[in-house]
Parts: sequence; C-alpha cells; structure tokens
Amino acid sequence: MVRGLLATGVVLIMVAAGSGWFRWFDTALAGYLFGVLFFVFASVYRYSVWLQRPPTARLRARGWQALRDPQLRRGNLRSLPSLIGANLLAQSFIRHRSTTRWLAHQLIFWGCVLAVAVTFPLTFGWFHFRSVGQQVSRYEVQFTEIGLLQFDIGGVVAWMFFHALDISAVLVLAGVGIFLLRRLREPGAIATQRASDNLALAGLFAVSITGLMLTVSHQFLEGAFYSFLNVLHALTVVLGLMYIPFGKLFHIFQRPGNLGVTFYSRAAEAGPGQTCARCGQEFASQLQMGDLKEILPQLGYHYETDAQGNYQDLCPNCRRAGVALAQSTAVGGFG
Amino acid sequence: MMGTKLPGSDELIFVIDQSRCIGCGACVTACAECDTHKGTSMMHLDYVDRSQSTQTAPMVCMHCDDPTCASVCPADAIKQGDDLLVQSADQSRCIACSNCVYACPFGVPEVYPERNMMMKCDGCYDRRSEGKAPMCASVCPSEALWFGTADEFDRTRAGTLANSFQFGGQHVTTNVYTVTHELGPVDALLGRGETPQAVTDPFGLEEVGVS
Repeated sequence: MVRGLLATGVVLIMVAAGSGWFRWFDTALAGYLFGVLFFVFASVYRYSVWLQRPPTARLRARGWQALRDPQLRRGNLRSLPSLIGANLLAQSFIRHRSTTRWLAHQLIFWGCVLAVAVTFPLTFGWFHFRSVGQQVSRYEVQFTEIGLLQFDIGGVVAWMFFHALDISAVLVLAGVGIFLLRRLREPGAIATQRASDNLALAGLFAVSITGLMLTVSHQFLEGAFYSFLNVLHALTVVLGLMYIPFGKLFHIFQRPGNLGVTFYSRAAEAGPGQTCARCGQEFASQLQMGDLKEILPQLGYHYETDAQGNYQDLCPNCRRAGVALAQSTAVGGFG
Repeated sequence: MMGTKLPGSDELIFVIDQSRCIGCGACVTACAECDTHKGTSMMHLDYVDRSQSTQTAPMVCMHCDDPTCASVCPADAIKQGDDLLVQSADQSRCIACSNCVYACPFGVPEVYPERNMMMKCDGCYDRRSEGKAPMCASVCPSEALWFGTADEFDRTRAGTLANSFQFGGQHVTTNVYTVTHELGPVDALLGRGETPQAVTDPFGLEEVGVS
C-alpha cells in the first residue's frame, strides 16, 4: 500500500515537473491522468503483494544475487540485451508454442507499446506541439521547453504523429482478430480458454475501436458523435488501465521474472548438482533443491522423512517409480 | 482412516492402478492426440528397475486437493478449477523456473524450456466435463487407467479405492484414486524397498480351475 502511494506520488511529481508545473498540461486529458495514477498505484500494490509470496521472494532474491555473482556478472550483463530482445521484445518462446499466437501477440504488444509511448508523455504534459513562429503550417514537438523536431503539417512526419494511435489501434485489432479466430476455431483453444482471456481481448478491442472511431468521426463524419465517442473512449481506456493490475494482463509485469530464472539457472548450474537418493543420478542443482526444501515448510508442507532425509531428494522418475512400487506392494504385487 | 475420502456411488472417478500396467504405451499415444497439447504427450510411462523387474509405471497428474506444485510456483501460474482438477500452467504467467517439477511428490510436471512453460496432465477436464473418459483411460487395455462410477468399480474390480498418500511427514489427498487392499494412505516410501514380485495368477484363475 505504502509503495503504491509512493509510486503514485513520484509519478505525480514527474507530471508536475515535466509539464512546467501544469503549464503545458492538457486538461482535456485529466481523466486519462487519473486512470494512469490509479494504474500505477494498483500495479505497484499488486506487484508488492505478489513479491511477498515465499517462492516469488526467493526467486527474486536469487535472480538479483545471481546477476551480481562476481564469477557470472560479466557473462550475465553481456547477455542481458539479447535476453531482453529475445524474451521480452521478440518473445521468441511464444513462436515455439504456436506461430499464429506469436504473430497475434507481437501485433498486440507493439501496438500497445506505440500507444503507451505516444499517450503517456502527452497525458503527463511532457510533450506538446506548437506552431513555429507565425507559420501556421509548421509545427514543433516540444519536450517541456526544448524544441525537438519541426515538421510541415501536411507532410509524412505529421501524418505519422497525428495517426500514431490509429496505427497502434490497427495493429492491436489485427492481433485481437487473430486471437479471436483462434478461440472460435481451434478445439484446443476453445477447451482451455477462460473468461479472463476473452475479457482481455474485449478490453483491447473496445479501446482500439473507440479510438479509431474518433478518427472516423473527424475525418469522414464532420465530427458527428465526437463528444460521445470521446467520453466512451476515455471510459474504455480508464477501465482498461484499472483492469491490467488485477487481470490476465498482469503477466506484463511477471514476464521479466524469466530473466531472473535464467540467471538463477546459470548460478545453479555453476554449483554442485543434486543426486537422487534412490538412483544416484543428478537431476537438479543443490541450490534450487535447497531453496525448495526451505520454502516448502514455510508453505506448510513437510516432506522430511527423518532427521536427515527428505522425500524431495528423489528425482521425478524415482518418485513416479516409487509410487508405482508402493501401490503394487499394497495390492500384493503386479501383473 | 486419515485422508481417505470414499467417492459417492454414482460419482465419476478416475482410477490409476499401476500394478495392472502392461506397458503397451497406448495411453502415451492417446494423450498426444489431445487438442489442448497437440502432439505432446502428458502421460508418463516408466520402466521400473528394468534389470530386475518387468513392471512398468504409468503416471498421470493425481490432482492433489492441496497441490504442492501450485504453492511453490513463484508466478502463481498453476490453478485449480471448480472441478478440483489442477490445470497445466497458465501460459501467460509461467516463467519456466521448474519449481513445480522438483516439488511435485508424484513427479508429474515437465518444463519445456524452448516454450518457456510447464505442461502437465490436466485430467482431460474438457472431456470429463462432458462425462467422457480421459484419453488415456479410454484406450488402456488392462484398465490400469480406468474411468467410471465407484459403484461400477465395486461391481467389476477387485481392491479398495484410496486417494491418500504419505510422503515422509506429508500427507497428500488426491482427486485421482488408486487401488489398495486396505483403506488408508499409500506410503510412497514403501517403494524404496524391494521390488515387489509379479503376481503369477492376478485374476485367481488357477483357484477356479482355469489354466
């Protein structure tokens, strides 16, 4: 709770400072700012609660510890850009699950990244446009008081700026469409889908389509329904921001944990291995098995067999074999 | 007896009786047919002490009442449905840390590193929601994997249903049943002892004069 409030306070200060103490703040975007502030508070709150779970806390600590390990630090830091590129940006692991899903996820991901990159700085008042001198056909992008870029309002650059959110909406809608088709056609997807999957798709669709309708209204309908659409779009965005920390899309914040897993695995592989108490084969690292044996009692599980032994010292193969043998013994033999 | 929960007579239950397995592998192939994990079988079928025994060991997820795999998951990716079946990892959340693989007392979950996710038997909850048997049970010729009502089990099968296990100090109750001779938990540590001998006349045919 306190972390959430602190993070919200920091964002508010950044907004105030970045917008020249609200001099360039666009009051028409005030609703969006409240949405963002709630989103920051709720995300930090949920993230903090998530980190308190014993296995999550242990993984987090081990991940950072492994990243800073003197023997592994250089290799870890060297591989960090490619790990971020492959796992977080290109999301190549999704391609191994399904190429169609990967394509849909990439379209939605980059569409949302573009939308956030455009809307958050504008909402915060960090960026604004103004005419260059007395030239009404020439605009300048300003970061606080610093002019960054000038362009003609009829040019390609202007079109890109003014339609960036339309581009992001088209990307997201294409991704949502692919996901939706998959959920309607593929028996596996139909069997495993949950209400939360469809709620996330519905949210993304609502935000994108209402945003596109704003462009349709002012480009082709002479502004008809614009005020209504404006309120509707703001509502979908704010509700979407409120949904992210508590719904399926919270995985946006969980996924970077995979980098910690990579560093943890490297540290574990560099250390001694855990051999199975039954077959003598190495099946895991002592580091991870030691962590598990500490976490399990914290969670209320007691797999200790005697003063020294622990059922968790068996490899998965021997656990399966052990259960089969115990069951066969219980019925007097097999056959 | 501690933890053993007898099913209602008309309740559909999934039963695994490893002692009846003949190692044909039909369950492994049938499981891979499932749309939810196309081409990848979630069925484990192991040889047990191959040099000393012909016994094979099939294993499905036992769908624990209080699943250890879900508790040790740092990403909170493993969920239990209203049907009490423990589902495969939520694909958007799983970060492939392998905690579940090393914590499951039955040795069931598997991590697929290139996919960055854990997958495991989900009890064919889609088929079961329509009253159909899980894929593996629908093809098992020796009925080591069996699906039906408790009443049907009593009429057609020998042995007592049990769904509780002891792993050292940890008692585990499951939603998949196994078969024993007595009520009470199956002590998994018994399996660390001598390999049980094959039953030469499992159906008592010699006793009734059929050879």
